[in-house]
Amino acid sequence: MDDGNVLERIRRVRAAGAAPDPDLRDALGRVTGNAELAAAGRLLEGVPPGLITPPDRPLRPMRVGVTGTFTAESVVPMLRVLLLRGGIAPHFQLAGFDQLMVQLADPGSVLARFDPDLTLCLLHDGAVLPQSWDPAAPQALRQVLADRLGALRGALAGFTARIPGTVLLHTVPLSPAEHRAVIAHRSKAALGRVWREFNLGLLELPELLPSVQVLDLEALLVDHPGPVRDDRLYRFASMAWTPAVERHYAQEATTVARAVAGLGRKVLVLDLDNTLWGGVLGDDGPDGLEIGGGYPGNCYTELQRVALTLRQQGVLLALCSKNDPAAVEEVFARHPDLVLRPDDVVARAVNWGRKDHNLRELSRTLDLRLDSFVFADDSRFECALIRRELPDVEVLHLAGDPAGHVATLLARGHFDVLAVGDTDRERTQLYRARARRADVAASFESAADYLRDLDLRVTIRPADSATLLRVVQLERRTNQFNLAGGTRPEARTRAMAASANHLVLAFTVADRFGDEGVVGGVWVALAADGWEMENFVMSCRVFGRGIEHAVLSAVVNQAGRAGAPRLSARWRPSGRNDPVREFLDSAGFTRTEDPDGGVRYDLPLPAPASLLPDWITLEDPTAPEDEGVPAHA
Amino acid sequence: MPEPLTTVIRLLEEVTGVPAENLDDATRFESLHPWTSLSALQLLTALEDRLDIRLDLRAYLSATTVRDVVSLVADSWMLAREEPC
Repeated sequence: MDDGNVLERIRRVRAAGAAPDPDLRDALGRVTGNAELAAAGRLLEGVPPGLITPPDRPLRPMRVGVTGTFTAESVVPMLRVLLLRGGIAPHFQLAGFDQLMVQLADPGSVLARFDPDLTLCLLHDGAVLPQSWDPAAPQALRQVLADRLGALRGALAGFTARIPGTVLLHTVPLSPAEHRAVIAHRSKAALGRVWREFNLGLLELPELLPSVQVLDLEALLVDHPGPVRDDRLYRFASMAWTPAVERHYAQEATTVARAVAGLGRKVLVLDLDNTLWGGVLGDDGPDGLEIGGGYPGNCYTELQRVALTLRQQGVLLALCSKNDPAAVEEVFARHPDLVLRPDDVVARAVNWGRKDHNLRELSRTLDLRLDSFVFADDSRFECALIRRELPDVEVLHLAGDPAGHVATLLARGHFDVLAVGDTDRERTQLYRARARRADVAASFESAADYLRDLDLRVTIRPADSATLLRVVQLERRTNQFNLAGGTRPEARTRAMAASANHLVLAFTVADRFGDEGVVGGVWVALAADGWEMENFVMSCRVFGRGIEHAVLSAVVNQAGRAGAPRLSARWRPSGRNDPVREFLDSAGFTRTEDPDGGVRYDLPLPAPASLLPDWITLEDPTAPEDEGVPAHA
Repeated sequence: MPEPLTTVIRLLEEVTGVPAENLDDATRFESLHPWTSLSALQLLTALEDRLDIRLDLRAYLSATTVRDVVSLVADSWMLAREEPC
């Protein structure tokens, strides 16, 4: 992204008497490169935290001590950015190169006097291994490492007895050069054992010293691309980590810092269609959902399994989905492949309303602040809406291959806490009992400001060779926004498209994020006494943006220009297509109930008012120049 | 490919906080305050990270002016272009 711009904004707030830039804290998340992150952190030193965050989202102050066995000071700028972004205003005290043992052991040390809330202890293999050791006698090495561990434990016991804050250590990766310098494979294995015993000893420290935490860095680096150490930096300046590893550590340490500050997130709000299962319930039906079995169903199974694991550790799961609540209830009650069951969910917002309002309602119902929420959804539209309207909520966009969704959900340790107890396991039950209600009601007020910023463009034109098949496919696949409640053979659509007495229209949607392509179609019979929409289908992906209103306004205008005295439509119930009826009920048509349960809609032309929402630009090549411009834009 | 002088100056500004308008190809690193071996390494890693190059540390440490570093960067691009394709 545009991190040059973020650096520029930091420079501006650094200036004396600078105006606040309250969105800067969130913008820090856009700094991507390691060098940029370090640069941003250096620039942010000394900037009052109040300048970069809105007054109603203050940052939590934290004293952070940093000490190490190597030159670790370049971790500090990265940590500063990540902590600020994570809601913490750090005050750092750095104790320089190879100061770790002194700083921990000496009651009068710089760090001890600083009294950190969190002390980061950075270790490297070179400080643990002796200068030389005999590969033929691993027992001797083992004794040396045990002694060093003992000394460290002693120093930590003293430090934690004096200082109430948390101390964070980490397991230490062994440089591959040490491993390769030993040539006998039996001895390589012995070295591996001895080294792991040392790391194991580190991992046992939290059991002995309650305020000590240990990050299993050796395990976390398994996924890290590239070397841990740049030998040039190591030999020249005793820097034991590459910038990429410094960043990796800074991210993990930030997660721990958030847990120390009690800022770990508590609620995971999950979308359903193409998030918790593959496919669209309203269109594909319960039997058509991808869940269980092989790929890609197993990806969704795994996501549900991970959500369940989080639930068992005290994370509250809530649902937020544009769907028919009865159909969802049915799936949760009966679908054999679902891992999550109704009791795993603390509250549901299953309706056709705005998701930001639903999240606010969930927050009210559960009496938990939005800054404890994580929202996971496959829709770019919904994710951008929540980011904009509710900046406190952490938004996870589950895009692309569902095999990657679990990693996206877990990557940044949003839910991390220092320890999980018995009450955490019961939390879902507790909150269910406490919540004012399990189901959250919809709000249909439109997100007009957000939609205006999206720069939505709807283009409608007769289906041609490029779009006709797609329109046929959409009619077949779409159940919820399907006026006729059914489908027709492809040949019929082709015949209608070629006929002078019919129109088949295809519409596409684009916004500032990109092009959604063809998202729906309208089938119209043209007669002298009026135009009749035989069908109107739209993908549920684009519900709730006023697209259907824009399309209807284009059809109304075309009919009006053709001199048709009215536009009519007949809704036939299919059991799933209530959304399209609700839309027509609100569109100004007169309504006649059919004896068979259907509804006939009539609109005399010309229509009194434009249906076109002012946030949509309508492109209709058949329209004269002055149309398509919203009346009050 | 960004112009090497602009890139070096921009990164030097990020590392030292000295505004880019006060830096040019004749700027001596020793004249910047504060300039430490850590600043030198921060500039090195920033250059390598942004430009996806790798510089020889001995040659880099013997560079005294912005111009010297720019020519090292240019050499490393030349080498990269000479790779068989």
